[in-house]
Amino acid sequence: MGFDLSSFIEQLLNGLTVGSFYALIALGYSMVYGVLTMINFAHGEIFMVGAYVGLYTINRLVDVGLYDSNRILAVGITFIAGTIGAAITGVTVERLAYRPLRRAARLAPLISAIGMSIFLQEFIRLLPKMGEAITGITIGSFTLFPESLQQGVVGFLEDFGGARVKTYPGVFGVGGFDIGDIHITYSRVIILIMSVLTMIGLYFLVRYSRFGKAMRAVAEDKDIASMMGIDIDQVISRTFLIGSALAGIAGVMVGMFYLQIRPTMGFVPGIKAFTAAVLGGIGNIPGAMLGGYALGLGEVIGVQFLPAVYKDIVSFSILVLILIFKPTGILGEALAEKKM
Amino acid sequence: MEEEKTAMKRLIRLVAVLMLTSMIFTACAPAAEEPVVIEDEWGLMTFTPGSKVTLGVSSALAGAYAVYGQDMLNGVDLAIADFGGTLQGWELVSKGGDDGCEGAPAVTVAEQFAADPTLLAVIGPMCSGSVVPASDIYAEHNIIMVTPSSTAVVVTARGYENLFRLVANDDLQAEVTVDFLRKDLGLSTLAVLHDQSIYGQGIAEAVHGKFAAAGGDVTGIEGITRGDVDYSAVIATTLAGNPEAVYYGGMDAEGALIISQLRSAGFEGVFFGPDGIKSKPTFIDASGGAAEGSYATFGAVGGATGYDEWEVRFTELYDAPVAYAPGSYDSALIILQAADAVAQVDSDGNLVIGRKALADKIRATPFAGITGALEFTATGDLGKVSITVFHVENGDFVDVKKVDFGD
Repeated sequence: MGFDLSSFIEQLLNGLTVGSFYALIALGYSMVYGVLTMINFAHGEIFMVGAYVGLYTINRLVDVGLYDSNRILAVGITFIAGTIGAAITGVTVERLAYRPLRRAARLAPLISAIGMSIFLQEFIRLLPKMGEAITGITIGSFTLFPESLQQGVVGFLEDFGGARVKTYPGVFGVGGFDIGDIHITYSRVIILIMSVLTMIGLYFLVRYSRFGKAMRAVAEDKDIASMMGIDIDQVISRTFLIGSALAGIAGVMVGMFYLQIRPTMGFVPGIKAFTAAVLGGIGNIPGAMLGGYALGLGEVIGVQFLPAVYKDIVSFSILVLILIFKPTGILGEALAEKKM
Repeated sequence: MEEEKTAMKRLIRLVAVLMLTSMIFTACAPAAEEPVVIEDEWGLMTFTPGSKVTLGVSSALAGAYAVYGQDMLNGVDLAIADFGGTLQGWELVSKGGDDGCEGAPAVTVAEQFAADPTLLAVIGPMCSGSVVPASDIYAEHNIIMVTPSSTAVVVTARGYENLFRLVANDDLQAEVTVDFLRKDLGLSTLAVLHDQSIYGQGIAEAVHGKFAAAGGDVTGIEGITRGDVDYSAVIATTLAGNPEAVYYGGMDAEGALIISQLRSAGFEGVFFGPDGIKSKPTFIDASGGAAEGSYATFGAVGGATGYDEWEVRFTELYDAPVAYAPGSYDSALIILQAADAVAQVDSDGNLVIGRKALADKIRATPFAGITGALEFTATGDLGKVSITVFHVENGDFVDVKKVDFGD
């Protein structure tokens, strides 16, 4: 196969799209690592929960007709709902599973995170069954819930979660435009613009806001920051809030652009985003963005020259090579040295 | 101290010897008194009075392909209900085992089923990738398994006498596919994708080989990863060869993503897949409209007497059948009728079924099912099979061509 410029540019765009997802998710890993020096392995599942909340929201908007009458507003509401859903999940996970282990050995919160990851996956998968079981409880001949309520609850939970693959309505379709030989779909452009805007917003938030300064202070030295009057718990909680919100945005985006969502959908992107975070220098915010795009591009370029089955080998080889030769990542030098 | 230890050791030895002898005696005693009436080369299944008789269903009950597994389970449940709910007075139940359409979990499910004393037989596993490793376990325990859906050629090529299947193998499916692409659609270039599973890669390579042998030009063959969402990179390389058609060997969930991403990449040719993508909710509906105009092959369904009436009944009870419900229904009834014919009640009032007797009975009895007239050959394959080509029109599968094999 000869070198074909237009297909190469198309591939670059594909890589940037995938990279956007990796980057958005990687930010959550990196920010949490920054303040807690722990890897939040439940982060991929927070992304998944965001997608599910978004799906439930958009389906209700389809039901009430807003989706058809004002699509932009409906999509906006969906994004907001998914983001809030993921953010609440993230903060709750931190409060329940990580904060009690703040002073424990370093492995404890890590194991707790893996547990949360499995819990969230199974929770979404089994929601309708749990609803059935709980609302079906009988004490003797006395049923705890009337049948109509039971059906309502189970129906709601079936709309929300369950083992089956669920499908978003095709919001953006498959339409696109051509520049010369290069075919570009609108959806890719929208993903790229939205991700970049989100990340610019985040950058300014962390760089200039009061909270951003507090967060950076906590990341630098928890004890000193605490002495300066910074409420450490609150900063950590907000870090989870923002990191999870970004994952929620990515979750809704994945739902809207690839249509399918499932309870296990967080695993692979979670691992890939973790790779991206390490690649860019874990704990470093611009590093996570850079790492996400680098990994996305690396994968598509790899597929150009190698059979497609090697795609994951490419990404994980990158991870291994980085860990061997530059464990601090591309941008993570200063921070990583301190945390050693 | 030392003395105490030796005394202790002696005591333990004595107890052990006593236990052993008592075990030998208890084991021998009844066998010597009671004449054995029912015998079977593969052993017997004994159901005590009041115990249940279980039909195991090994399939994907969670995850991406759960819609197929639930469909199978519903088919088996309806078969049990139609059979009257009991086997000579023993209550019949179905029991699902989630194998996720993968190999390792299917082996676990097989081991769980094998350890269940109430198990009569197994319907499934659904996927060839599950059947191949799990059938070793079933063969070891002489458990009858009838798969309504596993199509890989290798499945019945290993001489297992406990294994039956109700669908045509992938060689035939590939033959029909290539014939349709070359002759009916008149296409000469094809790109092939697959999901690297035993099933997906198997059929993709069969289509690849036959298409080339029929004088067509295969522009490329690539594997994808199940569970990914973005296939745009591999799709771009695939389309670089300008194929008129793309064949995907794999399942519905990835199939829906691939067709929609093929269309967004500007591909306007034919998309073709095997029975793994023949699901309205998870292929057509999940593709956001992109699946319109696609083709899929599917082994023996419909056309048989009573199918339409059955479909109405099934839809009322559960939901429209997705793919393998009719096959699972027939599988369950084949097992139950054969079991009914060979079951005996022994002097203790237990229901006793010989494992080999059951297998032989299934093999020897032609069955008029809702999927057609079913008769097994020595390998466990059907003597006569048919494959239907479906076309997606207005959001549903419409059959456009039916090919019969055998006689």
